[in-house]
Amino acid sequence: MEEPIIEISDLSFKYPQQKREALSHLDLTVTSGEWVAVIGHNGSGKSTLAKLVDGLLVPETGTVKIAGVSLTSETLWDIRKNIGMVFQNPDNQFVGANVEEDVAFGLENQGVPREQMIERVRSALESVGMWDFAQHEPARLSGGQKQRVALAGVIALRPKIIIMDEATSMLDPEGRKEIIQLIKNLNQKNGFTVISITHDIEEASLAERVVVIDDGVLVQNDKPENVFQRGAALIESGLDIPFSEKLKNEIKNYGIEVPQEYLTEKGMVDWLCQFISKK
Amino acid sequence: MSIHFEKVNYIYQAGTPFEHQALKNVTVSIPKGSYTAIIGHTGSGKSTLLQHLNGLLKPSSGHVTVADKEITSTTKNKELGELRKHVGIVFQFPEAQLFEETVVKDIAFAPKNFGKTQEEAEKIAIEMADLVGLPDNILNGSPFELSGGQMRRVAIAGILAMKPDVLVLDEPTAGLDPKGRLEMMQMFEKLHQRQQLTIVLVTHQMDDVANYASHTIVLEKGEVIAAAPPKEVFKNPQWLLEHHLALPKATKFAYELQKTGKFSFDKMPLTEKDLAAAIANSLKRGGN
Amino acid sequence: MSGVSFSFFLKGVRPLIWLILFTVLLQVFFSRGGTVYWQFGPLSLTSSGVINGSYVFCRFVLIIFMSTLLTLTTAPLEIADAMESLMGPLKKIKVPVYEISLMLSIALRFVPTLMDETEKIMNAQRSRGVNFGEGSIVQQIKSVIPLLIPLFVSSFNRAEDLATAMEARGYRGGEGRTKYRVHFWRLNDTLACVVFAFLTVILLGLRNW
Repeated sequence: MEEPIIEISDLSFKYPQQKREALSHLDLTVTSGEWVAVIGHNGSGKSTLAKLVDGLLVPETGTVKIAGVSLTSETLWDIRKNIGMVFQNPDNQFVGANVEEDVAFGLENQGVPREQMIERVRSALESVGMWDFAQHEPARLSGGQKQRVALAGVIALRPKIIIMDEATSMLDPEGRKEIIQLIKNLNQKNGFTVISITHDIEEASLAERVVVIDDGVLVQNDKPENVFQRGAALIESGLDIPFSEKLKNEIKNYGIEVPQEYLTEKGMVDWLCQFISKK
Repeated sequence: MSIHFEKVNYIYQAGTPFEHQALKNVTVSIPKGSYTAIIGHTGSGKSTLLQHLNGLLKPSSGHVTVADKEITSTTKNKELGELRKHVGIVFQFPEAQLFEETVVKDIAFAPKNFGKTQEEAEKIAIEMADLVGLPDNILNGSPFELSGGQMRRVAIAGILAMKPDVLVLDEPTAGLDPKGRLEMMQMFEKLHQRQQLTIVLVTHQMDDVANYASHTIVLEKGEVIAAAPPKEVFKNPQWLLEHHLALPKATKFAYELQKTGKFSFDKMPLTEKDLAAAIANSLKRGGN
Repeated sequence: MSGVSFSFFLKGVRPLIWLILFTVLLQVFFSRGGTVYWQFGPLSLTSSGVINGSYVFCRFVLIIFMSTLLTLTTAPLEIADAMESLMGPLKKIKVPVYEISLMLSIALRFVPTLMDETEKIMNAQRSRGVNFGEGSIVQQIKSVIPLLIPLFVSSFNRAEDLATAMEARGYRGGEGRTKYRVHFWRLNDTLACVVFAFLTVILLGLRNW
């Protein structure tokens, strides 16, 4: 399982009407089955990266390899079969007239025979808990439900990699929680490689690795706890400051020594209990 | 200027098979000068309630009092124009309302509609652009070439330009990154403090309720199930759980601490500042 | 038979009633020929006028009834599918039938979304002091601009997003695609065809008789 599934080297991209490079000489390797969170403020180049990996944009320099195959115009369509993407706006990626037809869209594109399609649509919808809504039109679904359908559309295609491009940012807290939980299952139980582009600290904290992109440059690539240790500076990188870091800062104001390293909320409770017991 | 709802019912598509009651017997007040947060799930009736604040919707029965004007089901649309000047609503993703060639013209749109001359309106527009923190060099450019966060500020300035007494914000930070969210919330706080604006905030973010609101209205399935200051609403975690509502992070953390038996809080803290103060206090006293 | 109540058909006629009456009256009073019953200036009531008038009336009502029946019993998408299958032969002369049908189906899918969007933008502009549907014609036309421009902008953004999403899901034209939604020929379809063929023959017979 330790083999690399995404290998990016020296990747640069510039949008036609802009002076600055949206992405500049980026190197990144993701191993199979890994969950990597990509963070950065709005306009930092995160989404550009996702589109380059899926061949939706063509890089100026550099290469992208998916499962050992270089991304070129010849390999593009085969490579896309390995990657499923869920985008930010739930409404703007719903192609079908109803839920099951939307899930079937990708399968139709791949020319999957109808009998197989029926079965794969059903099992994909069941895995996101939306089979009961198979006949519903998008207008009758909530944002969270639409994103679950989008995810089912991805699962039905059985890719190796799932890219979530701020897929939870337009949802209410409940919808967000559901999607994050689903992603967690897909990563841990089904072994999908997950790239999640996000501003959500909870989503990022579930990842095995956090990649920080700032103005098109990769500035940090480390375990979440090491990235979160940056504390207040995280907000410049498009992530909220972890609650425990905020609390540590406030407690420091009362002249109390706090640990340097990043603590989870549970870790923070434990530390406070120890601290008070010592007194 | 306070707003009062008295036994307001609102029914969508009354008399058809699609009939749906969105507000049920709502009696609630939004006090003058308050910072009122409205919370509740998607479909709880929040947006229907909002649209009653400036007469976009009229109650099916009952009445709403805004700016000493009573709105009932029979109020004529013509009489509502004046009202819209007093209550400015910033809808979700308000950048969708931009349409003019330049930023200034777009912000000046509302004052012009309410009878200001072109010059007066543009003067107000420049003032408002400054108030929401837009740089001068973009004012004569197209609003469509700005970043998402800036477009939203233009839209908000366009509402503030009506000089409303009440500013209604429907999830104003949705889709922004955390830094943008924080800056936006601080801007509203400043407006609330300096301009004495009454603010009505619809939000899913309990931390924003804890940090900024003075008053909370909780809606569920079209009914008001609580109307009180945040510290009252967040006092009962069991009740919140039953209604699928979250606690502010600091309050949740305080409950976790209390569960260990080593800490106890007389008043549950709502913000990090309160929490840190309470913890520091306990640590200095040496716990229970 | 269609399970649609008669009052629903009447409701369909209602919005067009003035147009129908106007056309019928035009036919009745301005047609010439046949026996003249009554005359006043350019107006005349003649037998052929009355006959023409009732023809026009029946045609209008039938068109409305038929279209009501079609839209109430058949989902728009099924109509789109039917169009595709009817246009099938055009594939031979390189008409992108499949793409046209997909476009139609996506357009239909976005109708509720755009209606929603329209309502939201109208509410936002009303809150900024626009009165839709009030004042002089010039004012009314002016008030449409703050609605139309945002709608265009958001539709273009949506279209762009949608194109990206479709490409990411492997859409590369109609070639080699399979279909999830299929329709089967049932006994009822055969019956309907037979009945219609029969009716056509009878009507033709009546006309020539």
